[in-house]
Order: sequence, then C-alpha cells, then structure tokens
Amino acid sequence: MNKFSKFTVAEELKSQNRKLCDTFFIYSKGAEDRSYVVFEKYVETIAPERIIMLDSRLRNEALSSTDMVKYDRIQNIAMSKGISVGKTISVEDSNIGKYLIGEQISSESTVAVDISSMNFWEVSDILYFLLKIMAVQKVDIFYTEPDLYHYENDNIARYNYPNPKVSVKYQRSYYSTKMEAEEILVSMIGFQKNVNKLMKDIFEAAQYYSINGFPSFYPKAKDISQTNNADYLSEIEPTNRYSAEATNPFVTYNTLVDISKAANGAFMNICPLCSKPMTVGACLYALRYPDTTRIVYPYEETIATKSDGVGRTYYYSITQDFIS
Amino acid sequence: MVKNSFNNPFISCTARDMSYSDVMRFWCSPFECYKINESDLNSSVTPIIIEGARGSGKTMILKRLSFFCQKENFKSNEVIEGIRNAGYLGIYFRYSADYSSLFDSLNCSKMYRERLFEGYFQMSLCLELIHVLHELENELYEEEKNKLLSNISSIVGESIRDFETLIKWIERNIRKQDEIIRKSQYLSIDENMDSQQFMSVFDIIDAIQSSVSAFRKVLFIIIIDEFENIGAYQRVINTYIKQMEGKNGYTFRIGVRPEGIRDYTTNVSGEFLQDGRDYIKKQLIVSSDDRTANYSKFVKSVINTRLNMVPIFNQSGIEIDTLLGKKEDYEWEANYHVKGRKEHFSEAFLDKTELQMREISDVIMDDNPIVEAYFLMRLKRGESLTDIAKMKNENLQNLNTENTKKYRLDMRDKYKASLLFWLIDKYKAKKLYYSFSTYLYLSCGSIYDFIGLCRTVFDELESDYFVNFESNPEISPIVQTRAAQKYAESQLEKVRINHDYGPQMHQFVKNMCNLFGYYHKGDLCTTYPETNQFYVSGNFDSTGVNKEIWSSLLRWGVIIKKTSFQRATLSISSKAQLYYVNKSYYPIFGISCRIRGGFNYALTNDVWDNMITTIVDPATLVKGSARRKKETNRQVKKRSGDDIDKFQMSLFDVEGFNE
Repeated sequence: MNKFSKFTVAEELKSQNRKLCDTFFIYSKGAEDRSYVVFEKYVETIAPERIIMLDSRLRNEALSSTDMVKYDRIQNIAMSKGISVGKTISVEDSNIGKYLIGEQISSESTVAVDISSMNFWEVSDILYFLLKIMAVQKVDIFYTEPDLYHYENDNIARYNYPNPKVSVKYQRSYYSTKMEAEEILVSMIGFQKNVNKLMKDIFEAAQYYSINGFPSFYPKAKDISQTNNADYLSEIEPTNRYSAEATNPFVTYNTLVDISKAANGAFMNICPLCSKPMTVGACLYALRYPDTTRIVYPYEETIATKSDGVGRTYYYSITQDFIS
Repeated sequence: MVKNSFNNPFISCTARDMSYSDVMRFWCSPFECYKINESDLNSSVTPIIIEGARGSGKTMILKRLSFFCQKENFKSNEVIEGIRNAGYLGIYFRYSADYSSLFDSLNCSKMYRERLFEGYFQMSLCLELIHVLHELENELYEEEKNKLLSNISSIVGESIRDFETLIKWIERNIRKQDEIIRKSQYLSIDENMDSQQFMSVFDIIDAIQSSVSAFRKVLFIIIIDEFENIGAYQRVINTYIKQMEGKNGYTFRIGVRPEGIRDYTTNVSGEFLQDGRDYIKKQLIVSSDDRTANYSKFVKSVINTRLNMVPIFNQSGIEIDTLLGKKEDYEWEANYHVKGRKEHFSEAFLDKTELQMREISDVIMDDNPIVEAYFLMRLKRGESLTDIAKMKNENLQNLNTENTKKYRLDMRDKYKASLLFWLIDKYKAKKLYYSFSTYLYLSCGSIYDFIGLCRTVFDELESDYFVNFESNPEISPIVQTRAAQKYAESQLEKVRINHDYGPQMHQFVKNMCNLFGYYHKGDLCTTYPETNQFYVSGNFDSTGVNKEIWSSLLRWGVIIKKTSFQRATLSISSKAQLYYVNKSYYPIFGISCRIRGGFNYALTNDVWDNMITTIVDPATLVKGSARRKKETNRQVKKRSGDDIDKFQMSLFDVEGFNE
C-alpha cells in the first residue's frame, strides 16, 4: 500500500517562486472570509491556462444580504488583480463533476482545485470526477483553514449544527457492494453532536472505529470533537480510536491503511464528518480501494459551515499513480 | 477489583453488529414471550412477515434461522445431514439503511432502476448461497457436485468448474453494477445493452434440489431483513412472493418494522399481497402490560447471559434483578425526598390555630410520608380527624374492618405511587427510576433498550462499587436514575435528528410528555393518577403530511400503540385505540412508568397541530381537556339523567379539575 506525503503550506510554494502551470484552476464561490484567499494570493503560483468558477445556486439561496456581499466580492478581487474571475458555471446540486463534462478536461490535464468553500458532497464528487472519470494526470488541492468556527452558548463546547436530518446516505461515486464476511464503520469525528452515535445505531458493522482530527487547526477543535462525540466514543473499544492530523490528507490515508490492517481487511465504510483535508484523505483511500470501501454520509442536504477569519492555506498534490 | 478492569458486557447490543457465532452465543429464545411457534418459522412454506419494533429481536430471530447459525449446531462434516434433518436452510440478506436512494436518482427509466435493484437482489442471494455450498463442498458427493456445477453452468451460460470460480463470476457481475452506479451521474446508461448478467437464486435452488439428494426436500428460506429500507422497491419482492404459488422449494421470511411496508402492490397486473393468503404476519409484540411474566423471563435470560461473561458476576451467580433491585420501594423513595421535613402539612395547617395544628400532627404524622400524604388527602376531602384516627388505629391493631380493608386497598398499590408523585412535587424533587421492574417498563418491550439501559448503568458505576460488591451488590437507585436519564436524553436526541420528520416528532414528544408531567403534579396527580396514555379524537392521522408524521412516530417506536382497544377514558364508555409515548423518555419528564388506566388524554386535531410545531403550555391543554370533559358529562347527564360517577373511588374528584 502507498504511503505518500506531498503536502505543504501554500506559502512555501510562493516563497520558492514555484509555478504549477496547471491546465485548469477550479474554485467555488463562498461567503466565508477564507473563500477567495487562494484566488487572491496564489493564482499566480497556480498559473492556470483556464479558470472556472462554480456558482452554487443552492448556497446562494441560503445567504443573507450581508453574506451575499461577501459571496460576490470575487469580482472586486479579480478586478484588482487584473484577471478574470473565470468562466462561471452555475451548479444546481452537489454533483459538480457533471457540470464540468463539456470543459475539455482530459487525461492530459492537470487541475488545481480550491476546496475551501466546497461541502463534503462537492469535494468527494470533484475528486472522483477528476481522478476517475477524467483520469487527469494531477490534482493540486488547495485548502484554507478558517481562524474560528462559529459557536453558540459558551467558549468551551458547543458547535451547534443547524438542525439536520440524519440518515445513512451513500456517496454514489464511492459506492461498493460489500462482499467480505465482515464490515466495519470508520467514523471520522467532527463537531456535530450525537450524529455518529445515531449512525452507529442505524448502521451495521462488526466493529466501529473513530478518527479524530489531531493535531487540529487549534487545540480546542479536537476537544470539541471529543466532547460532542463522547457517547459514541464510549461505545467503541479504546483500541479502535485513532487520530490523524486534521490538515493532512495523507496521514488520514495512512491511518485508514492501519485500520484496514487491524480489521483484517474487512469491508470499510467511511463516514467523513471531519475537516476537508481529512475528507480528501478518505476519498483517496476509497479511490485506491474501491472494491472494499464505500463512503457514507449522514446528511442529504447541503449544510453551510460558518467561520470567521483566515488561517493557513495548504497545498496537496495528488497524481494518478497515487490511486492506481 | 478496580473499575478500569471491568468490561461492560452490554457494549455490543444489537444483533446487527453480531457475528453468527455471537448470535448463537447470546441466543435466548423469545418465542414464548412473543407467543410465536418456532417450528412455523422453520417449516412454513407460506412466506412469513415478522413485524417488530426496533430492538424487539427480529434480526436475532432471522439470523438464527440462517445457515451460518444453523451449522453451529452440527458437527463439522455432518452439516449436510444436519440440514437435511432440520428440513430447512436459511439464506440471510439485510438491506442497509436507505438502500433505495442509491437507485432513485439514477439517470435512467424506472424499469431499468427496478432491473438494477433486482440484479443486486438476485446476485447477493446467489453469492450467499454459493458461499454456503462452498462451505459444504467437502461433504458433497463428487457426482452430485459435478451435476450441480453442470446445471449451474447451463444457467450462467459459461463453464463453471468449481464454486470459487462461480463466486468470482458473481462478484465480477456485482462489481459491474457497482461501476454503473458510480458513473451514472456522469455517463448515460445504455439501457438496451445487457450491461450485467445476473442469475436467479430460484434457479440455483432448483439446481441444488435436483442435483443433491440430501437437499431434495429441504426448504430454502430466503431471509430478508430491514425490508423497510428498500422503499418503493418492495414491489419487486412482493412480486416474487405473489408468484410463489405452486413452488415448494423455497419461501421467504421478511423482517420489517411496524408501518415499514409501504407498498403491497406487485408487478402482476392488479394484484397485491394479502395477509393470510399470500403471507402470514407474526408480530413481535409484548402485551400491553409490559411486565408479563414471559417478557420478564426473556429479558432476564438475555441479560444474565451477558452478565455471566464478566468474571465477578459469573463467580457470584448474581442476576440482574438482584443488581437493580426487583421493584421500586416507594416508602424508601418518599423518605429520600422528604428527608424528615413536614412542609407537606402546610396546606392542612393553613388558617389553623396552634391547637388544631397539634391535633392534626398527633393524628396524621407518621414515619412514612406516604401515609401522611394519604391522610392529608382524606382530611382535605372533608373527612374528620376522628375518623382518620380510627382508621389509623384499626390498621395498627390489624383489625379486619371496612376501614382497614379500604386502607389496604388504597395503600397497596392504588394510590401509593400517586402520593409519592404528590410528595415529589411538593419538595420539587425528581422522580427516581430504578429497579428491574422499572427498567422493564422503560424499555417498552424492546430488549435492545433494556440492554442499552444496562450499558448506561454499568458505565455510570462508581469506582467503589466493586470494592463493596460482595457485601452490597445492589446498584444504587441514584446511579440507576442517572443512567436512565442519560439514556432518555440520548434517545430523545436521536428522535430530533431523525430524517423522517425528526423535528416534528421531537416537538410532539416534548409536548406530550410535558403534558403528562403536568398531570403528575399537585392535586392533578391524585385526581388523574399516573396519566400517561392518550387516544386520537380527530382525523389528523388519516391524511396528508400529518398521516406521514403519525406513521413515522409509530414506525420509529416514538409512540406505541396498545395491543387491544380499551375504554377511551373515564367519562367515555366507548372503546378506542390507546397510545403512549415510548417510556424510555419518561425519566426526563418525571412520568410514572406504570399503566394505571382511568383517565386518558384526548388528542384532538388542533392540539396535534400545535404539538408538532410549537411549544405548548400544558396548563392550557389541561384546562381544555377539563372543559371538553365537562361538556361530555353534561351531554351524558342530559341523555341518561344518571349519575355517571358511580364507578369512581372516593379519593378522586370525578368532576375533574375546577377552573
């Protein structure tokens, strides 16, 4: 199994004056402070031939007027840099790959993607589309972490998700029929309270595992995950609790490899309620082992994250040989 | 023994999570409890639908029917003989949650989607069956095995040398379908192309029965668990069931939740499944009184089996009802809450002189606060202190008088619980939930919930529990209550985030339980003792979204339908379908677990509308109910001219709550 590490802070690319010269740069509009950092600070490093901006109608509908101002500020940013925002593609749902079919992305292409404003469905979908359907040579993923997530009530704990309806949903692009004798569920825990416990009740598995994002963006984040999933964690064996660096998809990938070994190759269901870099790691693992893995997710609808400020921007480079 | 070396024996509590060998290890027969004939399940050619709520034991029963559990009963190399003697072979398949959504938004026709679904169904069952044959390969006669492989080759249209090759063939075809599913949103599906081959499990069964003599008369049982997860595709399976007539080689056992079958139609024009004709329904229901001896016995055997896996409990031979206590001790609990205080006399002392207060105290004060509460009630009702004193004395002397008979009747069970609630309200305390009996109630007939409660209790055990275990094994009521509350909160949270009208169900539960909690306070708790049931007085449950929400409440076990029609409520002699909210939530709201009967709340259309959408003030609902009751009484009196209160006990105010 591969163990790979092409991961760095994007600022290092810039300071080394590297140019990625990707064929395409794809990013998604967003209303958070971090949504356009990659465009603003690193588009010259990416140096793409073509830029594609995804405008999500779903996210648009949920925005307040203040947020709409933030959402649309990309125009000003682009103007100040003297470049175009890119071709705008309106997407109606989270299956964003299908909207890119006519854009002449091919196996010769290299594609940079900013996932900072994408949700789980979009991240997993675009990775599958680029790496499997279009079989591009390389995907350069950029991700900007926030400074802080929104909390309610008090300093310590509760990151309260808007009231979601939880059910097991298969990410169709990563679906596989289980044919092994045993099946496990790996929950990559995040801030959502009680969701993993409910997933455990709905789902069938011989064993349950958890991966917490640690080290995390900031120390409190891993504590919130721990606290909000205390019930679930108390119901799984202590030896089945893992952690993986929240900003590094390759460590997540490696952790999943370790779990697979510990579970003697059992069929793996992965539920990535975690950071986006960890989600990337989960997707890469599922792409590498499609026959023995599938990804499940408890929400059907798009849930917008709310964050403030801007943290660091990370860069991950994925080549085809990583998943073959 | 220190806590951290103690393994909670209730960690794994669902049969879904268990291996087949664990199913056999933990098996305790539920058939007596549910009044089901086990041999029907093994031998009936007519398909059987097993309907049971979450945690009732469906999966355990179904898995036990399957081959991989059956074989545990036989010596290796004698499994085929064992199957032949048993007369059946089970092939188990479970639909995981929301399976149907995989197909729903595929970019293809409805017919193709059904074909894909059918392909998965057939191939998954075939795979399971071929695994069985592979396992039994060494016991098969060479000639029969070759004949079987030859027959299967004809079915498949390719030469199949051995079972491993066949397994790989099936897996390859399943993978092809997986690939279609994965790529379907990017690439259009060519429906004309036969993109995957699948063979029919029924053809394989025919081939087995015609090739292998030992299986000639064996009934192949196709077991489908969690049928509710396939939604609209139930029609496909219904069609198989409908078309079974005349075929004796196989049958179906289907596990489904209540309200889980959404579609009885088939693909045979105009035909639909009929209960009693196309299938038999067996319901896993415990009778209305959750404390039947059979359910209690069943729960004990399941829990004690797990307890015995922990050395300290195994060595002592202790059972769960000893650890939890057999039933609640109301007197002890009353003393726990009251702590020697006498504030519950305050109402009786109001506007009384010192002499009068002393007289009241002399007669009524007792070591038992419940006895005090009882006589305070009688005093409030206008009974004289002299009569009360006489009743007390006759009882103390153990005389056999009318007074003592009434006292014992009143105090044995009838009013004891209500008076405890009255005291709890007086002292702003919280009801304790403990004992084996109470946990039986809280679990509402779900063994899964009972195990969940036990797991939570054992998680809450303090470190000194095991130090004192030998001298005092009973788990403290405080710890049990804490566990019951924690479990209640987690169960209620699950309702809230349920995808099937979770927020509405959650709101309804809170409102209904708050209402019942209100009936457990003040004078209401003796006027309407232990009110915790309701009936539908309207038609909201029969149309539109309300009907769906109502079905969801039943399907998920958030509300429970009582097994038989009973008198609607005190003032209405007609019978009605009664319901109660799942008792596992009660510890949050301080509601009695027992079934008291008598007054039941009438859930009308407008009350329902409010209860699913907003927070409702229980006081308003109670007043509304009293108004309706008065009106009903007035109507009845007008019609009959009789006193409708003749059946009432003396302590209760039949006319209800006075505004």
